[in-house]
Amino acid sequence: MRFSIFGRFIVEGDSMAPAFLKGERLVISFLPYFFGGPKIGDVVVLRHPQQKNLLLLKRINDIKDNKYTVIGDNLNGTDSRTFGLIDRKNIVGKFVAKY
Amino acid sequence: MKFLSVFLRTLDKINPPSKVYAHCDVPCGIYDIAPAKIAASTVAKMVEKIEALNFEELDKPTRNSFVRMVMTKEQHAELCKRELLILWTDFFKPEHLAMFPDLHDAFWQATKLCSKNKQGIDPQVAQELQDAVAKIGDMLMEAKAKAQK
Repeated sequence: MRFSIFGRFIVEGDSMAPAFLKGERLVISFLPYFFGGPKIGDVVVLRHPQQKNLLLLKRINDIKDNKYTVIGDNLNGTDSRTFGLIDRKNIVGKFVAKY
Repeated sequence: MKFLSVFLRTLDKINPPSKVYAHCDVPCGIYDIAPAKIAASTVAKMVEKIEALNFEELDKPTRNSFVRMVMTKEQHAELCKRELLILWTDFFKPEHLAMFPDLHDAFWQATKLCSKNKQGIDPQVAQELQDAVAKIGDMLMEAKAKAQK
């Protein structure tokens, strides 16, 4: 999955609690980024830079030179502190809604 | 909106949604000796630089340099210990003991050398730490190579 125009995801894990809890169902879309790039504060689904099949849910914490720092709301997860900055191509889509 | 939610949940029953991990401990599976090697080299370099200081001149810049070098040595010895512990506890498994019967001893000695380098300023001990880390690096490479076969 390179980009998701409209994807359904289910949350596994607690690093984004309490905003996103385990088992919650999310709609993710790349459409918002056709009209402007990801912004600080956006919650995104991204591909782990070293494990392409692993999809993570994180919040964009900083953007510099088209590189994104993504951090879990709970700072005990695996995020940019572990795997470094990510490229835009790693971002699958933006959180749009829960259902 | 409720209709959309019902529709999507019905869709989930036919075609389940993908899992997305907001996980606290996703194992990244990246194990490398490089951080421990760099930390051990930094310890050795700091010992070398401290030894080269002129303690006849205890002026402010010399004292400042001395404190910074000791701090750096302390921090990197701790970092080296942490990196080694990650390899020991997360990468190596019981089955590796068959390949390396002295695995536990190698890690025990290496992590003890980290502490010993904190306690003193001895080029010999710093070299021993580098050697111990290099030995563990060889074990790691061998274990990875075997796993890929």
